[in-house]
Amino acid sequence: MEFDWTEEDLSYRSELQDFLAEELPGRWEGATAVLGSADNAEYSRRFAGLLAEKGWLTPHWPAEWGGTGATPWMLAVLGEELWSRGEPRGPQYMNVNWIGPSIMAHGTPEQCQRYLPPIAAGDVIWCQGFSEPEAGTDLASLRTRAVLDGDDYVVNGSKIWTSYGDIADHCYLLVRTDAQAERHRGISVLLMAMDSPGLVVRPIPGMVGEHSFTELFLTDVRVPVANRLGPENEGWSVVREALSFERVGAPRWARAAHVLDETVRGAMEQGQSIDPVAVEAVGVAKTACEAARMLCYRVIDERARDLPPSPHANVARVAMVQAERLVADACAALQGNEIMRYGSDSDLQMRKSLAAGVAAGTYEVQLNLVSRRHLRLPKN
Amino acid sequence: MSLDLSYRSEQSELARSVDGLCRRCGTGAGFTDSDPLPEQYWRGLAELGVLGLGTAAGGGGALEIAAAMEQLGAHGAPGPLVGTFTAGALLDPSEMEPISDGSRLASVGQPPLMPWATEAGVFVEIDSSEAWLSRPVGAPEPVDTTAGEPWGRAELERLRPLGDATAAIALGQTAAAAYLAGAAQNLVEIASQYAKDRVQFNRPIATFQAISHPLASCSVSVAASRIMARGAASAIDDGDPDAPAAAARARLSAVASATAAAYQAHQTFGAIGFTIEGPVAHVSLRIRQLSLQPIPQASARARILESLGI
Repeated sequence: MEFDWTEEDLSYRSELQDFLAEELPGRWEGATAVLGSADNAEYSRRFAGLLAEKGWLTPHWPAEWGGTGATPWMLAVLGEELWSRGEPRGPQYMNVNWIGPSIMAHGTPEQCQRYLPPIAAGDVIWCQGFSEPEAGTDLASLRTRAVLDGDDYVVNGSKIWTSYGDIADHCYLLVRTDAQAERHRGISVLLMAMDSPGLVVRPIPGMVGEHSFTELFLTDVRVPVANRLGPENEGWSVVREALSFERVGAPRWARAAHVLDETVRGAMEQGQSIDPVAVEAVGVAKTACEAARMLCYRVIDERARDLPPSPHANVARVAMVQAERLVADACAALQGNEIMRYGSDSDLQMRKSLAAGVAAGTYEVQLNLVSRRHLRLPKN
Repeated sequence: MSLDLSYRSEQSELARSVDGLCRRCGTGAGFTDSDPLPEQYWRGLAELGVLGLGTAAGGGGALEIAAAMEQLGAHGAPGPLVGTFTAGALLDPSEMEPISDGSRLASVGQPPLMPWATEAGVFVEIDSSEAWLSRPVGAPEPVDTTAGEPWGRAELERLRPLGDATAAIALGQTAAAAYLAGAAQNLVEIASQYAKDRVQFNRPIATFQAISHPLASCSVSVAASRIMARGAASAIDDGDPDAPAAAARARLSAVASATAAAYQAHQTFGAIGFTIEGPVAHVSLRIRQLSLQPIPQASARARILESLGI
């Protein structure tokens, strides 16, 4: 057992911290730091470009696609440092975590050549066209249809809760290509240009960020067959694999832990008297952040050893949701009314904590997966 | 002892009037409008006599306030409601008159961050035991809050001591508790309805115990909070010496159950709960805001410990 960082990891973290202190000075907060806002996405084009120049945007990718052979641990360090600062990669964290790797794993040489270099350069925004009005947690019931017509699929339907739909260049789109097949079969992945004729994007104002969501309406949108990722009707396994990268790729605990530390520091600096209940809330929240961190590390360790994905990822995600909520509660106990100052770190944490159990797959589904895969309980 | 947990007919009548006003002034999904305090609504509350409840001129007592606040909470209605009722127990009739008639807003809290400070005409500084009529030195610096309320940072100059604030705090906490209980009750009800309507995996999501059990659990704690708020109001009206502690208990119970109900409503509604236009977001944010008023929760806990001789 080894419970320590290597020299290499430590020096990487330190170099990264110096870089971030330089690049993200002072008031990196407000609309720019709200993941999901247009300001944040635009900021990401500049920031991700700088990361790419340093070789830190896609360090874990193969050298062929601009990677530097970084270990999963270095990637974890990168994720922690960036998430604790509100994720200045903006929506591009998805590109590097799972959209790029998914294209790498299932794409044709032409698709890889076309889509991967812009991701590695940090100047392209992707969105994911997954949920539909009637297909949320039950994603496999999606109905958006793609019908073959010559060299194109003709796509009709709608997608909802698509983050960044109004600013994305491309969409990783799930469609039904075989209406007769059993629901998990008959789904395909299309890589759709967001300027395709017939596609209308409507913003849905949300409480976690300006225009956090969009709705996509697709009417006879033509997507070339050459843009299908992986075999026809096998999109479900393509996307499941892709999302297994996503579970701990976004270390939300790191942001929560950072907000907690800063809130405590602020209270101490002001010489604020802290009542025992707030002290306990802070202790409980800090512990929950540590628990989430360790459970995420267990997943990273598996990846570092090239082990197949396991239920550890679901366990880690449950722990992250708990940590996010407990930090929000601790900030409220500690700060009182100050937590309500719109746009402050703790206010954002409070709002994010309300969404934590829904975004990126519900808490309840994660518990189902933990009970089935981890505890081996029966399904019904 | 006898226990009557229902409102008297005139209190129920008041509740119905407040409900009707909120239905007319809200947007259907509650007060999701960007206007922090729609004029028609606040004037309507004044005309119903709600803003003067608990004062000598306005009549009514804590139970009337609780009955109105449950309805206001159910609609997620805005405004310096807790501050108004707290001020009503502290200010002279002449000072209170413009607040009761809706022409002035009361900012009641602990400086420097004061509720509704940029809009307020009357400032009351309050701590865990005393209060002062005050005025801001210079214009308050505007601070927008998560729940869309125009707060402000202000240095306050004390004009006049208002004396022991124990009774006012008890009334304010009871009002907050009733609002939070009403808000939570409504969230549990609309989430339950949504769970019956929303079909995933070919069945209403309400048939999943992962959805139904947490809602059931919330409904238990919300029911307790509602009764505790009514009980505290009744104790205040009866002059019961336990009233301040009862109000503190009701308030802490309501904060806990409303916070839990908000989380569960979000879990049940999923993404639609996070939309500005949806039925949950504005209420869950207001629950957070109300949970911090009129005094810190730590002061409420201290009051309970004191009542236990600790």
